[in-house]
Amino acid sequence: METRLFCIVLSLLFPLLANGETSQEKDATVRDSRPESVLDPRIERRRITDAEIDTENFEAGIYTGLISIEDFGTQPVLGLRLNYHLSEDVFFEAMLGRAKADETSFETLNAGVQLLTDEEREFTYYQAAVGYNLLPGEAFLTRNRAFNNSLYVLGGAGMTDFAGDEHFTLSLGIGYRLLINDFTAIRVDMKDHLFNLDVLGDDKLTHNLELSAGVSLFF
Amino acid sequence: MPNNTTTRSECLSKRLSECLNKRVRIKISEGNASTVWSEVYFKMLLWAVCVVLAPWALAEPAEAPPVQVKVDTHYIEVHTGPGRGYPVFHVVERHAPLTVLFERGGWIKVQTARGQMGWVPREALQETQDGTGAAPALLSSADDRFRNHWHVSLLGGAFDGASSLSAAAGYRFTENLTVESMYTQASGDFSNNRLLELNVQHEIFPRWRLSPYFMLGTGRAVIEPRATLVRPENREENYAQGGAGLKFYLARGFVLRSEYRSYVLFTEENQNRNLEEWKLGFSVLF
Repeated sequence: METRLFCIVLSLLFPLLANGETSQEKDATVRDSRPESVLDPRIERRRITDAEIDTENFEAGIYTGLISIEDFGTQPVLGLRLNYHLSEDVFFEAMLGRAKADETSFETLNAGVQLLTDEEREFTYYQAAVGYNLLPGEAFLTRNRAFNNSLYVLGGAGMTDFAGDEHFTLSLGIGYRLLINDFTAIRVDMKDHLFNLDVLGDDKLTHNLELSAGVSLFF
Repeated sequence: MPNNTTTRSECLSKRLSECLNKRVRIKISEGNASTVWSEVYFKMLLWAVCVVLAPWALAEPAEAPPVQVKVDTHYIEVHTGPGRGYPVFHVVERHAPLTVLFERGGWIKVQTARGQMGWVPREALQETQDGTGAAPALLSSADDRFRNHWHVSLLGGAFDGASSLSAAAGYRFTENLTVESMYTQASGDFSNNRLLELNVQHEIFPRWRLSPYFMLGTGRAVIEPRATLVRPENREENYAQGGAGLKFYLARGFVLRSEYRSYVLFTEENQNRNLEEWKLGFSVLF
């Protein structure tokens, strides 16, 4: 499943990289235009309003990684995300993620004992978060090639469907976004999902750490 | 030492019996029907996203006539990235043209006549002229909220002692009246509640930046009691709610929102149930 998704991600990525190159070709043609047009621009006679400016404030993507479900082992996770960039600093994120919990050590030691049914082991979370671009900047690959990037922090709330119940979940995270062109970003996120779980008798606050990497497109 | 071992094993066996009493289920069926379906559903969702995104990613950008403006101030500084901290690498002098490519997060990607690409803040366009000789008619945050009819909201809150999370989508019919559909999920110590409702909001002074509103709504609640030993039946009840709140227009297309709601649940028992909820969240206008 994961390999297949990587294939999809890559197949999405290549045309975009190719597009980036065609835009550079266009640059060249503009540079060739007559220099006098700089001081005597002939601008089309029309009114410019917001409707004519293309906005690219949304970002959608998929991610995959590992989530450590407290007491239930570390498992692959797969998710979808949608972002809205309000300003250079603040963005909003909606996420849907899926993983499958493993056995607890107790179950492994006692063969035949199952704390949860197969269905209850499905770990699904959906949440909304606010992100803040803490350290925006440029990363230099070569002397003439720089990518915009940002280290951001995320805080949010949502629901986690696990162990036959829905749990109110707080999520805190930190992440890194690298824009490989104007419309494609590579992201790495480290997140903690906090919720109360009572499967092992007492109600306890669990920390479920998730490390993920993904690709997203702006539109 | 032996004593210690005994207590540990005693403890373990106690724990085991507790678990057996409470939750342990022997694995009966491998392929539970609903598990299979939810997996299929998730995979379908993933494929749908890929199928929708792929043609869009492959498609050549549509050739629209370029949006061009002429600098109408001493100069405009062009940054390398969409943010105040990115260095200024180019300056566009008065009367020089700028091609507007797209906007992201309050910054506009532009191309100069010499082909350089960079970013200028949205406000810089106020210091340019479009083809008619006037500054581009860009909206301020005040006009924006009436131009956009749709909104989506996300709210978190406290619903009768449980933490709640809501998602809503609404449409503004007039300056004052908005109709909204909201889905709420509240998970508490005693029950999981799901609420789906339709409400009407009335803003009394819609032009104020901090704008108060009243609302009335009705919907259906599914109450799923939380219990470990016995699984009681889920209940479904209709409800009506009345509430009041405040909207704060924080930035262009963005509203902070806080509200109080009072619910009446029409239960099958003799008495109706009253519940209260506080919510805090935000809306994005589009």
